[in-house]
Amino acid sequence: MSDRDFTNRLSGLAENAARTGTLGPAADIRRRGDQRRRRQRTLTGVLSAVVLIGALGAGVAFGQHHSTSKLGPPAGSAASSPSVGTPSKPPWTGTKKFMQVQSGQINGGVVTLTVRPAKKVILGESFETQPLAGPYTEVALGAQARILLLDGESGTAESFVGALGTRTAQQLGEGFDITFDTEGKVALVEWLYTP
Amino acid sequence: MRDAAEFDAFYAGSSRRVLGQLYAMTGNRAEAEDAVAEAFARAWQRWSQVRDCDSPEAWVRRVASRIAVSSWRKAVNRIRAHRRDTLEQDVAGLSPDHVALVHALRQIPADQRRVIVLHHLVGLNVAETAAEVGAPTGTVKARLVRGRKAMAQYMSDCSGNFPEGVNHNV
Repeated sequence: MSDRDFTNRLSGLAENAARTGTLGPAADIRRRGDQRRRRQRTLTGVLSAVVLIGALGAGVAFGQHHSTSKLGPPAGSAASSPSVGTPSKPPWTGTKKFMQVQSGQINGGVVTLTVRPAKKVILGESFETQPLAGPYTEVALGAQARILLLDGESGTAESFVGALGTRTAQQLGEGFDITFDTEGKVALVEWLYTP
Repeated sequence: MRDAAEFDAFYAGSSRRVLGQLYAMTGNRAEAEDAVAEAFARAWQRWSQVRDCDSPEAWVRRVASRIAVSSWRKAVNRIRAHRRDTLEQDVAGLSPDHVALVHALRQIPADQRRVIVLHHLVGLNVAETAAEVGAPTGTVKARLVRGRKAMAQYMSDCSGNFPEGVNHNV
């Protein structure tokens, strides 16, 4: 069977399915999409609330730490020296943040990202990434870190680092939703656009 | 409202074509219908971004095919498909040629089916097919060769008439 015959037979099969298949009206499809959107917004709202509560908790903890440090550090405690490029304990432990990712690196099997919080400005059904002032920080990906593409599929950390390096100038500034685990490592990176 | 009208026109113009392509990719009508409906719902969910894609239809097809091959989704769909139509009902009304083709498509791996459909049905060349499936062109060529060869074998089992002619128009 030639390519042409094969293509014709395949086309005939597809046309038959297209003609006889059952698809709902566009309004039903839009309703389904709207439901997905509402669920996502609800989830985002819940996560934002969790982040806010976490931030408030961190603020209280910081206040307590600050007042304690005025009296001098407890015996045996190490002096804290927060600095840029400390992958061990970023300030976003257990939170989900909207962040710009400057770059990704793989060194000795350890994947790190250079990130900075950004502001997500909602524009109707879309959003715009608004950079925030402040330094970029290097954070490590956890061993079980997941990379979630826009369509719900999962990617690998290696392919994510590769994709970061091939972004267009316009895509460079776009933010990602990044969730940190309780050790401060990246647990989940969510693409918010199709790379 | 303009967005809805625009989406509706896109849906009306492309949904059945994508359904036919997904049916060829999955070999299962119920799975194809579910995957296509879900992919278009996701397209509407983020329509402001999808409509600016180079090809919104390619975006939907890509998402639908990923949905269709998702193992979790497949498990759910299998139950639904079993309820909605059996395999016999699925090919009911098809010509013997088409039944043989569906039978052969169902026998080969999903990644081979996908490149065969993109190359022979959608009309993409090997490079475009490689870009859509995210695989090297060499891999796509190998899948095309293996898929066609396997299908030829299965179709000859079914109809006794399917020589192994594979030609790549890159």
